[in-house]
Amino acid sequence: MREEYLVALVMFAVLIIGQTVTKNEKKWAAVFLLLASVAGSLAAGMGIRFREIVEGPFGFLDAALSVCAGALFTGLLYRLGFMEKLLGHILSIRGDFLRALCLLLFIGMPGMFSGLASLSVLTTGKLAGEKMKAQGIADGKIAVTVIGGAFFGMMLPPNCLPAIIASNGAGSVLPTPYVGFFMPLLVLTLPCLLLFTLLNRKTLSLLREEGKAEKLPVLPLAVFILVWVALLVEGLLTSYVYIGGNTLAFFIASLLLVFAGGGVSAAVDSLYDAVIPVALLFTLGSFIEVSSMTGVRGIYSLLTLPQTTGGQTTAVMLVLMAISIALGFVLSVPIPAFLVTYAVFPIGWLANPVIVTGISVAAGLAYLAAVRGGLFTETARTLQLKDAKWGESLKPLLLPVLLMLALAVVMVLYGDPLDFLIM
Amino acid sequence: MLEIIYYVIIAVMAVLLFVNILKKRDLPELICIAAVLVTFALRALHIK
Repeated sequence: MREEYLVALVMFAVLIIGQTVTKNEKKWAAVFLLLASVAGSLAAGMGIRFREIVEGPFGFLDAALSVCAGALFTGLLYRLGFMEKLLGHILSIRGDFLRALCLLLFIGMPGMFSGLASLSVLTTGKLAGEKMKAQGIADGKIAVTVIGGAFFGMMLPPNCLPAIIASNGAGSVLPTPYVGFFMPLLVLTLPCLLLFTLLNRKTLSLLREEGKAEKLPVLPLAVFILVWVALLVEGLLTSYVYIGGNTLAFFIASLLLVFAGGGVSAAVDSLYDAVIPVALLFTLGSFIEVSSMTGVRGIYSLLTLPQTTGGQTTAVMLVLMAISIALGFVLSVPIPAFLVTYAVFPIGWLANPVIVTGISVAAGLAYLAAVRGGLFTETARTLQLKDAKWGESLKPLLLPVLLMLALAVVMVLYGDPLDFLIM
Repeated sequence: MLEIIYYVIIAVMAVLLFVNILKKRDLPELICIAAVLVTFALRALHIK
């Protein structure tokens, strides 16, 4: 048996044991990714390779900066009470479909800004969920609403953690770690969000409020609108307009919100909301780096490169996507996230954001589908939904998710002709 | 100019993370904060 197989076996064994023992607890996943990296370098007889373990996260640093800035901005809006007042306005919309769609976009907004579905659950999802509970809506229906909003928010642009993870697989091939994903993500997610709203309009429009909503504070509202304008202009006109990127927009907006009454303490707490997913991202970077250093990636290339002729690379990518989703049910995110980056490796120089977006769906679905330690667990725990069941809560998402999967496969198969989506 | 802003943003994030690590947290949370802080601090200090 080649040494590289043994190294891979040790790394995966540590991770699988860790995930099983901790019931896929997210904060432990980062710790076990780190331990698996150490175990891998030890198994390869290289000692504890601090250099690779520390260097790995730097592949994700710039994208993580945007994630952190987005989380900072969202957290400050939430802690200033802006989100609660905004929800009041959304719930006073009269049309059922429009109210349902706006509610989903409201819940998903922190996910759009930061790329983290968990942030949606912790902030806007919590606000909406508590209101739904107060109106006596069943736990299962609350779970459907919050999980749907958080999942589609995560997959919508500008920031999308699964796409950030997948783009790492292209290494330095893409112009920067995470650029050009706005339109591909929008084209992928928007039809699914609309289908989900249409199919579940009754459930999603249960929450409503009569009477006049509270007035929104002027400065946070102005900052909020300006950030949206900046994100849309830069996202839709990437090739023509550059105003500093998402990170700068979120950061300046956050500074203004801190001075508008948010305070430094709120900024500290807001950033903490993003720490565990970002730690998972960074430790995944270490895991990938150690797998490259010890030759695991080399063996993978050796096995897949002969297949790269005759269009069989696509088959490798699709198979890895399918394995990622299947593993996601049992082991939540870490291993699927690793496989998603490896799915991008074979195309290397040929990677474009459309193909990478398609592949990233597998990581997103792995988080959604996880029976333990996924989006359902996070939502049920945060909102204390004791009567919500995993199957019942995810069933309404089945058709929209199948549509997303179909669109993802189309993006993987026809990524090159679709490259006009990269604005 | 943008380079300076880039390092300012990273430094601010690193300081906020450092304040977070001083708060009472359990072990895995501390490890998570440390993993993020080390990366941000190394970049902020131009070491990596």
